[in-house]
Amino acid sequence: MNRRQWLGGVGASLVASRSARVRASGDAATSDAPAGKMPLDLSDYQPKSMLHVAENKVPHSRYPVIDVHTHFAWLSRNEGANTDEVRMQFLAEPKALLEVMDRKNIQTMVNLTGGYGAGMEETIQKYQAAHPKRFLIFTEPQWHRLNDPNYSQFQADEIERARKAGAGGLKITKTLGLYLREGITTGPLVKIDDRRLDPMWEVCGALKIPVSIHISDPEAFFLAIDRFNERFEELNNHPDWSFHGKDFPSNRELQEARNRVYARHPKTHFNTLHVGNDAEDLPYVAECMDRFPNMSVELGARIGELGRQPRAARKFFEKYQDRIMFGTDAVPSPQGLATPQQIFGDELYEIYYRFLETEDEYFDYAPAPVPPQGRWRIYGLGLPDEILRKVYHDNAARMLSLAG
Amino acid sequence: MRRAAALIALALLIAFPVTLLGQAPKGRETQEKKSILLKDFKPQSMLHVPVHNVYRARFPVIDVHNHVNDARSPASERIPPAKVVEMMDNCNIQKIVILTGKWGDQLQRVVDEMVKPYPDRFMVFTQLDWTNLDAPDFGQQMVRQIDDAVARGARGLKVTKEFGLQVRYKSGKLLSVDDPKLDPIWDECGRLGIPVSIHVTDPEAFFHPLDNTNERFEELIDNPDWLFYGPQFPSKESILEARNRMFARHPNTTFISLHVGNWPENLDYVSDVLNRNPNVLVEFGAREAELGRQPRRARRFFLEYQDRILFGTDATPNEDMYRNYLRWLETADEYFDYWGYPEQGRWKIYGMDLPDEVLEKVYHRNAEKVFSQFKGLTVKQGGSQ
Repeated sequence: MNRRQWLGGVGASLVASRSARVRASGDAATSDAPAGKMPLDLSDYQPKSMLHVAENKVPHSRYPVIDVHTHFAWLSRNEGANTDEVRMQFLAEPKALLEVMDRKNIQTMVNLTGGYGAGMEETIQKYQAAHPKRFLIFTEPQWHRLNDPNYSQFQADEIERARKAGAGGLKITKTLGLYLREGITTGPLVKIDDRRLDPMWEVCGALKIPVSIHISDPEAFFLAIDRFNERFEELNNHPDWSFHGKDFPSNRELQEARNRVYARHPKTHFNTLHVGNDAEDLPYVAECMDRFPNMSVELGARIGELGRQPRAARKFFEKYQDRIMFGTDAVPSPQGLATPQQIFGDELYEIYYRFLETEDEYFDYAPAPVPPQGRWRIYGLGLPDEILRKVYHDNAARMLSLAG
Repeated sequence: MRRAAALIALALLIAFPVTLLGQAPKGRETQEKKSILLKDFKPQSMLHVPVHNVYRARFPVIDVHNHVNDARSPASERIPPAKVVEMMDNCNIQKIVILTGKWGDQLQRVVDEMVKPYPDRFMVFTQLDWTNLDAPDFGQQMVRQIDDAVARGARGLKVTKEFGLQVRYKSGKLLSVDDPKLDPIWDECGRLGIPVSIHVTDPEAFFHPLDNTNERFEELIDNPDWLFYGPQFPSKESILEARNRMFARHPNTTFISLHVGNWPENLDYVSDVLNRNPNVLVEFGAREAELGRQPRRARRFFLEYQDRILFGTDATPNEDMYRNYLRWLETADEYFDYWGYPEQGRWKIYGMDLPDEVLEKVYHRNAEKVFSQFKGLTVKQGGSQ
């Protein structure tokens, strides 16, 4: 578009009479002010919206919430100790969590990164056993033993032991597919559908506990970190999240390998985190949901993606209302600060509730001066009560066998 | 020791998704962060959402806000009229209204070049000449100029945005939009049955400092004289209030308040203006971006005021431009570029999926109703003072 033509306001009359009494304002029609006369670094750009649109606060969810995707405890190195022992790190005390949960109508928080063995048991005691029904702890595989003899059976047995100790499910991080290699840290990447893992998937099905699985990552993470990347700033802040080049499989190859696992273990329930890890491509996620009845999804850290396509997202929720679960990927401060879309607290839940319950327009998906996952704003879904209840609570209660 | 350290590193890597660590491992911090300028940022959307191209408008369109081959355009920049008509035909654009037709010989040139050869396809408006603002009979001079313009074929009056922001008396005093000196002008348009297409104030961001928090930063950097922030300018709202008083004082004159009443960011306010002034309509030229980022609110506005919204673009006619507007009005597509993206702000727009009944009114019925009010010079005798 020609800027001169686009200039609705500067009329010919002005040019004719400027000398008389109009300040020389019509020059925009003829001058070409160079772009970048005042170069602004992208990172400094913090535009304030001028829109006057409805702002409906939702301090309390319409139905009790089960947050199936949180991290208030995770494995950590025992700082300073000369040992290979890993310990659990507790990012928040139960009391502090419960205060927010009570204010925000959260019935249960599921901590996915619960570790394994003694650390996991300690975590279960501290949260889940002390506050039944309010906390649920998942277990994790011991990838560093991958090359031990009988790893397959060992891992399956470990999960059975974890279940007996109270673990609510198995968490698979994106380590599988993107970091774990045949020599653990060296060699070719271990395939997601590696047969050695079959007993692990099978035992979860037999025990009727879900696998919460994170495979692959946003599509933009597979592209170069350059000025065309819509998640440029996020990748710039976290260069280790880039899976561009090197020997990384494509996003789609990772998903297809994951799908082969789903097909091979139809009795195992896979809660596919981050909206099946392809929230940008809901038609593909829908196709996977149609192909695999044992697949469900949760929302953690993807309302930014869903909220910029509210119509497509709402259709997805209508169609798969029995297989979508509420999750946030919340991480308490200060560890959560690096990912503003995930900082555990009142503000985070209010944004999720607003996204799900209202039809508000053009609002931030994270409490941050710059939208951390991409420079756009989101739109609420305005879901009907029936769907809200399923997504907030019922679907997860069923998956986690949380009766009542 | 070494083995232990290696194991710790390994356990760290494996046990914790890097996403959860909060901070990048040491060493990354020393890695130079890339820096890019806002103007160089051209993010490609990763969304897979439906695309429905609309090649022809569902109903014939009257574009009431255009400047193609207007009185100010030098011959070298004009598009051959037949070429414009061909583009219009390709998109089902029935008629284009050229707002900036000026007056006298310059107006005559537009009439002769565009309107006479294509009387059903082009219409031209006249404008005010502020040169003699200080003259005691300025209003009467303009009445005569408008009468002459209508005799030449003009069918409306366009008022540009200098009015209210920059047009001043010799004393330096700013001409208020509701200055009674101009009353004869507005009354004359009412008598002639011609609409006044009026642009008063500009996007809200133009009234804020040009800094890193301004959502129209890039547009203002490119066009620094569009910034109306500072003590020399009245506030946006006070100018609009003066305009509203002027609207109310001339109920028999039809005003087409351009750019969605010049406050699409605040549709509640525009709705209030429409509710209070039945003689006012709005047009949405170059405000697809503002309406398209609030599609639900905008759709409600269109349904509620479906009889008072006119189609306008304020952009050089070509197929891509019109098709962009048609997609916005007719489809429910999500997250696409407005016409001119990203100049007006770094956001994407959403279609409004308007029902046929509303589309037909907005595309041509409402404009036809406005232009059917034309009475011309014959009935004005005696009414002239």
